[in-house]
Amino acid sequence: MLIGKIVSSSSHVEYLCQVYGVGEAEPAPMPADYGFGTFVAIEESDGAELIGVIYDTTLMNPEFGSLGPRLSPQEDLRVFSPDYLSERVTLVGVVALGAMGPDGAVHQGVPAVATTIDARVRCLDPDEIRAFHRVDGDRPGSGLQLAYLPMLTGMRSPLTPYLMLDVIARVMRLFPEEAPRLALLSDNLAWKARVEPVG
Amino acid sequence: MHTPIGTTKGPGETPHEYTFIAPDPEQRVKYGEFVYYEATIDGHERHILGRVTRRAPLRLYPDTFMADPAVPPQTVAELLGFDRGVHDLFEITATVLGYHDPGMGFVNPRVPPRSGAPIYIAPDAMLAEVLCRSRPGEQGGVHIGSLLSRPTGAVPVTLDARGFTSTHLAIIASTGAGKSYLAGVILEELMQPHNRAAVLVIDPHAEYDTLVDMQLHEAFSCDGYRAEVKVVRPRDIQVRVGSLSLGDLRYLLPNLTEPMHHVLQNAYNQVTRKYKDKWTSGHLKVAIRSRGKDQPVTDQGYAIPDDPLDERTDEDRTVGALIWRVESVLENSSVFSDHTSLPLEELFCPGQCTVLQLNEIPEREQQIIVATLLRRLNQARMDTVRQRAGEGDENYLPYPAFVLIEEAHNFAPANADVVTTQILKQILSEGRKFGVSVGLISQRPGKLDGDVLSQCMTQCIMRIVNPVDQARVAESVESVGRDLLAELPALSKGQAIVAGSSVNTPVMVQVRTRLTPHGAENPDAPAEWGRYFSAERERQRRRDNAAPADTPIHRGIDRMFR
Repeated sequence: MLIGKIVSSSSHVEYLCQVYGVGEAEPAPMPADYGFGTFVAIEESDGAELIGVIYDTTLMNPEFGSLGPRLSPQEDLRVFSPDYLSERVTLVGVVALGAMGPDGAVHQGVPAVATTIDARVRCLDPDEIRAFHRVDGDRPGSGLQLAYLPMLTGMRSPLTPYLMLDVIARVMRLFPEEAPRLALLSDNLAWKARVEPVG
Repeated sequence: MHTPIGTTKGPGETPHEYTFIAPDPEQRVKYGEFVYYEATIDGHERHILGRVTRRAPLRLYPDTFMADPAVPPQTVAELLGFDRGVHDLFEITATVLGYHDPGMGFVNPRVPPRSGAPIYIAPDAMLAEVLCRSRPGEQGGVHIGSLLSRPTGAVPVTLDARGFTSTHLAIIASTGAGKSYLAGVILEELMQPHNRAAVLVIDPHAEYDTLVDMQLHEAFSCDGYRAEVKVVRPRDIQVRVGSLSLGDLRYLLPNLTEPMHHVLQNAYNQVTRKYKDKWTSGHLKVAIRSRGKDQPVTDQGYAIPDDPLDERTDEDRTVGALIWRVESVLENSSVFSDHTSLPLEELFCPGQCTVLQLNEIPEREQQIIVATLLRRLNQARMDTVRQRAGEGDENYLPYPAFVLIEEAHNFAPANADVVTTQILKQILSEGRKFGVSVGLISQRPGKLDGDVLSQCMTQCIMRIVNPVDQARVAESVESVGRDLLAELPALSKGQAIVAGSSVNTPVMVQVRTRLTPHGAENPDAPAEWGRYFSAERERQRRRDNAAPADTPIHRGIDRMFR
């Protein structure tokens, strides 16, 4: 399901996605579709995709601050100035966690190639999330991987610890057999995110 | 396959330490607990045993969560969304003991475990196999209790009697920590059918007479054997004066002047030359009168001359004073006898525990008794081993003997020279060759001679709070590590650290229950006071204090003498 398009970036891995408004996509994305911690794919032109997660949400409203009376009532704006209304948008921050090639090859961590403006962003379904987190092969460490977590810890956002907790919780639901390992990570993060800062 | 208790973090502060991380929700990794990791040494899979020496928490609730004692900190954490239950995490330091080789004991592999290697709690069966070289009930096995960090009885701790009966034993503890109780346990084990030892207990406080119950206890009899316990009361103790050395005499006779020392030495040399060790106090007095010279003794020699300026006056005073001292010490004491002493073969016999009660005897005489006895024992064993004494000889003792000495600091004090110190040092250094061993029991290791303590190669150390005593133990007992010595003040009654040549590695022990009653229980003064006012005692007092009943007036001749 499409939820928006890339409109800006603040680093090689942090992108700003403008959520599609009414009429821009069918069906129109609902807030639950682009919630905090949602796994998304940013479509590339060559069929590859950057895999990311939503880590922040900003509501843009040009009307905020203009508290004076308006000549046109709110209802008439829809008819006479629809472009004005379309300036109200929801922006979500997406941090790229890795990439999936057209052949399904998974790379976790900083992607080699950045995406482009207007690249489409869609939600990942559970099977795609599983595929992104499973590294196959006989080499040590094959199986479930969250190799992007160390990269997340370097982000400046105060929401980062909670993002990591949310990501681990989502992955745990998809990989119940890995619960002990994930719980260990989660417990440690929860202690640092929830108990230590308050003490 | 065992479940790991933790995961190796890395090396510790010293080369033979490593650290591991453990959540330990059941608090199984206690101080002194034994853990192991697996390693391949020379192609063999080995279990490398280690002992937990430190335990530091890594995740503590913030101090501010504990501001209200009525609010548990975990409930505050739950408020913040941390609902993970047990959150504890510990960094635990373990000292490597090594893998156990039946021939070589513990062998340190010299390589710490890899980071991430699993750490396991050593199972009871493994510890029972490797910590001690003897098993309960085996010949030489002295089962004193069980490993402190495990449930009572799970891992028996057994001393190897071959160790401490050759290289000596020390039991050290504060008053009330249970050292006499532990000594009783060791004596019980030595007298059981699997050991049948020849033991003498030097008992200055008459605490060990309850051991006689062993004679009636079924655990001490088997296949015609029955342990014998002989209690020698103070009134029955006799030391033949002929067994006293010149040093003993000098120690016994108070305030000797230089001339007195000189006369005594000459006299002693004379009587020992003439009568060997069969001299009597009468012989000594005669020799003193003759001033140690082989000349006839006349009354003049003992008379005080009229002329005070005569140079013989001083000599005569010396002789007179010396003889007075000999009479007052040797002849007025019930301990010293001219012809009788305790026969060694009655004191030492396999399967017999002799308790020598020294209460009611002055301390100096106690020391002389012990010194002469140890000297005779050592000489008898030397003569027997070197085949200088044969069957029927007074000095013939054809079996090793073990002497347990209570209040050992009175017999080998630090910073003082008493008659027993020298013979104790001699036995401690060379008794092994002749099968004479001692066990020293003391509540004041700080007052015990450091050399003596350090020669006891098996140590049972119980609770010690006094810093001076702790320091003496630390400097004299080399087989116990600093980490274990730090436990000394925290030990409870009946808990001991056992180390040295009778065990494979130092262990903390909960001493087992004695089979015979303990004789050194503290008196219950309040209970005694309460009994004073019991109805029966009140009646008895009234009866005893009642005025005599009126009796008919005596008549006749008796009346005159009333």
